[in-house]
Amino acid sequence: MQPEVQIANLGMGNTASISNALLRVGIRSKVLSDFEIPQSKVLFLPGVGHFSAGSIALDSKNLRETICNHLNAGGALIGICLGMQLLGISSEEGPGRGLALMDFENKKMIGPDKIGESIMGWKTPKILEENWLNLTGSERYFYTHDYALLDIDSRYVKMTHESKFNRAASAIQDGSILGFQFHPERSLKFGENLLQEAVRELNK
Amino acid sequence: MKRLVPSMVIDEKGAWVTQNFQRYVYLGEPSNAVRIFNELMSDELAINWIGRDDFVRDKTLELISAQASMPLSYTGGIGSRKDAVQIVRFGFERIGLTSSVLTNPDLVYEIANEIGRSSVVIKIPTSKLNGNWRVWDWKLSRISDFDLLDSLAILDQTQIGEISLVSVDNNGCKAGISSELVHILGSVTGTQKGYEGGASSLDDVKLAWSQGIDVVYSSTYLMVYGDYDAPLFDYPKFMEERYGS
Repeated sequence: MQPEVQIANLGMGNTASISNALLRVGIRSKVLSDFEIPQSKVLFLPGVGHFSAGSIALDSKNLRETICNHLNAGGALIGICLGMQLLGISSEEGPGRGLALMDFENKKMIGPDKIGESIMGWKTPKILEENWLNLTGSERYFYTHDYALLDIDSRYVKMTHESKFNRAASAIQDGSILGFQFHPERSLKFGENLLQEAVRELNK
Repeated sequence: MKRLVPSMVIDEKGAWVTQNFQRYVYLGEPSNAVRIFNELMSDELAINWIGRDDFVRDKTLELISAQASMPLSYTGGIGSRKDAVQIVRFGFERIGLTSSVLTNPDLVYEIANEIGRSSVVIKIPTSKLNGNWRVWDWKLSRISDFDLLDSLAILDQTQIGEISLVSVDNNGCKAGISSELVHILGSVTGTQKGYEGGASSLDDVKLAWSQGIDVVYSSTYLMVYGDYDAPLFDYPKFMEERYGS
């Protein structure tokens, strides 16, 4: 039986978590082997860790070409956490190129004293587009990140969350490319429902 | 948002809660606890590995990660960047370092540079000796020479995701939180603050939250019931009210 979605493997965490969360809502998935061509319409790009390490993994696993070909063939992409940050051009976290599928740079979150700010824990993001993925606005998700999308073009931003000193993009979308800064795979039923809705929407 | 996190000890034989880090109460299979805390919608689950067999550990962590729908943190034997990356690959979001970082503070930065500052937790067990708080040496099961206040001042500069104190004296005793340690944690400014040890009720948890603690870890209160320490998992429904859903 063909998997409904596939998961690109940066080798940087949470592919199994995504796969298991999808399975809990009845979506079969398969983790791509290196250099394997995706067969499903929806491809996930999850990741935990440093932007530069992610950039290197995109090269070493030929994922730049794989993802580019996948999108050109009409496929859809969902980036999660580091996977979302890699949709952009670059990051203040360190050297390396993103996929440049969307025009943004990941910025370090800082306060007025220039000290770095981390976001760790649960937040209920603000939804900017009514009925987007059938969300009600009461959902909560688990975040852990130091760098964020702080000044991306607002037309791409579907949800935002706030820390003490910063407001960042929680979810972005540009056509068939979607990104979540939080971890839906670790956000209980809220995250599982979101994954289900996202896959359903992108498979239309 | 403030968090309440079930914290359990795992080894080759199963899941446990500890009392003063000396007496162990058996909880059963870790996967059973994960399944129940999924249903109870806990904020997170903290796993503390104390076993010796890395093969069993890896298989256990894979199983836990596969089942958990909440965030996972891991503490136990992380001595290198490579160790931390391996645990992240199992699907754990947060990596806990213990008092060993006091002898190798560079390790904090090495790991933070690989997995991100927000994903690193420093958990310091502590106990009082002659009126002074000292860092507890987990490996040697005794109080070390490190002064807690001095150590915290150094660790606060790392600006990592969270610094937690674990009260050895209150651990697993349902004796209430140590207001003295909660006060000491107030000196930590650059990061989230965690506390573990002695919570016996939601009131204790709320008290810690009200005094600036971001995350309260609990074992006995959430996993053991009655005079005979029967394993019984619970998680306050209040959490639903707190999050407004």
